[in-house]
Amino acid sequence: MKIVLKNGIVFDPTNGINGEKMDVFIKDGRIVNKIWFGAKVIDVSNKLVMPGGFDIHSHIAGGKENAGRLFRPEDSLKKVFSRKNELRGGSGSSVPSIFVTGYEYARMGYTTVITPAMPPLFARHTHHELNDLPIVDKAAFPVLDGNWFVMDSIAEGDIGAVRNYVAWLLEATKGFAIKIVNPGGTEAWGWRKEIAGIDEPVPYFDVSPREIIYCLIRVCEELDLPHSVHIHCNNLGMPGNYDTTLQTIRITGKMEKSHRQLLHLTHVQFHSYGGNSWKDFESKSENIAKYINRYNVTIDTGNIMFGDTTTMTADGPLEYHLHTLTGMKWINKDVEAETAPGVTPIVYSPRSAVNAVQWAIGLELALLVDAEKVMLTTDHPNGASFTSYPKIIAMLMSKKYREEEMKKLNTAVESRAVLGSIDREYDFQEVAMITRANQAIATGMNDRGHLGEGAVADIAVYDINPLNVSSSDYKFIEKAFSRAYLTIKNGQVVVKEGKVVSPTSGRTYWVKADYEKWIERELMAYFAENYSVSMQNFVVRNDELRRGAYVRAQA
Amino acid sequence: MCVLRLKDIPEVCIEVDSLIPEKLSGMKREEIERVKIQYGKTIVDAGDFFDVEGKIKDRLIFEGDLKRVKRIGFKMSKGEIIVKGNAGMYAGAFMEGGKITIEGDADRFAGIGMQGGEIVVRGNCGDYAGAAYRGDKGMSGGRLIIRGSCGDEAGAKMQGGEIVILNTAGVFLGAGMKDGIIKAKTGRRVGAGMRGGTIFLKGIHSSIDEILPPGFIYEGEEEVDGVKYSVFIGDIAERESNGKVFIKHKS
Repeated sequence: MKIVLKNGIVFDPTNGINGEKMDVFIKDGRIVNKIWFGAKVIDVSNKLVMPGGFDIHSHIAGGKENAGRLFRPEDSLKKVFSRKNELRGGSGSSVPSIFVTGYEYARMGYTTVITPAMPPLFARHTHHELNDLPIVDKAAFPVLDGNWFVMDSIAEGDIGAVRNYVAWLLEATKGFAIKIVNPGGTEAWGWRKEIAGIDEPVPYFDVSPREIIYCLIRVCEELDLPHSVHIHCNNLGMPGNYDTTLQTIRITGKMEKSHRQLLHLTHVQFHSYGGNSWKDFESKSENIAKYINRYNVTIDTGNIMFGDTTTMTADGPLEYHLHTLTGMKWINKDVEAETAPGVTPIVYSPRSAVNAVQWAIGLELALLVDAEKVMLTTDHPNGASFTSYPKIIAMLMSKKYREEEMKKLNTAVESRAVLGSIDREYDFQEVAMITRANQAIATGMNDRGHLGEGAVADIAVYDINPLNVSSSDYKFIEKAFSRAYLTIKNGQVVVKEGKVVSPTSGRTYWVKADYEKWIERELMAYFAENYSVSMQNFVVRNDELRRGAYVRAQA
Repeated sequence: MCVLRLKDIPEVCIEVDSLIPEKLSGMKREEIERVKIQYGKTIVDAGDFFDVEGKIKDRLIFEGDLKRVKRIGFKMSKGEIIVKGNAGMYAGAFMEGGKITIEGDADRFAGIGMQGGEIVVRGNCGDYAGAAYRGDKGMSGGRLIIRGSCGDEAGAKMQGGEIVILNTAGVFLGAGMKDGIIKAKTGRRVGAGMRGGTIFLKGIHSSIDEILPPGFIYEGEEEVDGVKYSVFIGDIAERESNGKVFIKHKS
């Protein structure tokens, strides 16, 4: 199938195309330089053309996501999507069911989504759920921080064992990169203890979070995985936690340079807090931004939006703290020998000083960090649902919009955050960077996030003329980004004027790295000793992925 | 005044959340007959199940035995609905304003998550009358008056408003309640997990142990509107326990 997108205004930061009027040629699911005849011509004159959106951090499938759906029936009541033509029905606003998730992403022009915290034991569940996720391409990051085998091996100084284990685990769980969540903290909490800094030892394991982070970065570099270590730092959500975040960033300072970032810090908004308590809680985004710009790291923002949402993370202690703070229900989903995610609902209120400052920090980070190092997320559903991306984009593009929103908030946003003093406004090129191009580069998925020859034909067209719009048209910008005029996935039109027309099925990507066979013998004994399942049952087979595809690690 | 007469008791439940005064106002008879309602898993016209009579203003009358008609007055915010017969599940659920009168019995979930307005049930109510939707916060405003008795967990997780039950309530009346007022004749395990709000029990009781769960402490006596009550504070099993249960004296 051949398609020509005619006369669109193209933004493609990776190839340095900044708002040029040009045609895009698609042949057999890829982008080509020229098609001479036989192509279907779609006129997109004066419309915004970008590569398909890429969400690097969105909890959409897996154990705790399902737990969230189960224990929030009231969330399902709020939004119900009825079955239509070929589309499946579903429900849920902050924890939508899996079919709806895919449709909603496609409607915003997104074509790749990564679910970032898959406990290895729940890999099978996650992949079977991802199999049902329509349209978008997907990948999952296995969680490795509270893992007993990893911690034991690091304590013994056996990096070789960790390296082989990680390579084996990525294949066994069909994972894409190393994810660490509150390294050591979750495990310590399991023993009714707390870790305050990254140098405190994990009880019973004799390793510190710093050692876990350092060793896993080294392993990631030795295996040369396409994506760097994806870290959710310690002390999430605690006042004064910015110092922990800075220390974590500094770990990368002494390491060898890499062809990509050494560390990806996720939802940094939750890690940029100053002050000693909730009373003098303040934004430290300037300090954080300074470090990020200097070091070889990338971030995603983790913006919050006001309203009711569900928080879910592999950081069990945090969820417990939140529950004691808000008094709302919570559940813990302990995963043997691996991690302990928790889930609790939360309401972000514009009247709350803390929430207002949190809201500002998310935007500050996007505005203060270099555009090639920052990516847009809401840590769906923790900060807000992914459906609020258009609003955040509009706020980044318009100072006026930000000022108008700030008027509705607690006045703390003026005194304890710096957002009011930032004049910067994003242009469309920068929006393309933080929503698609940067993600593709950071995850090493070089076949997407741009419109160069040979790239996968994942394209989003929005009904807005970027050359003819000013920042005061923010409502218009928000509307345009919330429903794509066209979404093209693998060369096929899947969304037309905000309506899903063809619910295709995307690929699941995973990373294949080489490991030595002796690790399997060693793990056999480890599984017999520590797990309630055998190693054979733990491994997710290739044929369990509906449309699996692997990327080979370089080394 | 517009009358919607149910032709026959449907085999499968129908859901009429689209048939509320504010959505129908200004419509002609033929238009009302074409309003879509849910029938099992299919969507059908209202005219398939109802005979429509009269002109719509702001009062709607349902006639017939509507025990298989769910969601009467669902999320209604103004106007009036009168049900001449029994009502199915979720009658007046999430109501924001207006008035619903049910002349027969109401099934389960009547008035759950109510925010305002008034519901009067002349007969009995099923379980979860004026309670919270599963997982949600409870009723926050309005009045629910039940002239008969009601089932279990009436007013569970209530945050405001008033429930009056002229006869007895089932188990766990006002469970997990935070605020608001409930009046009933009697119940069992009344106010379990209560954190605030007030419950009045006006019936004659032989033994307190039958009525209250263990986490309540005797506070003293109080006279309200000329009636003497024993006051109990609880539920001390909760972090905050400012709930009050007033139980009428024997004498």
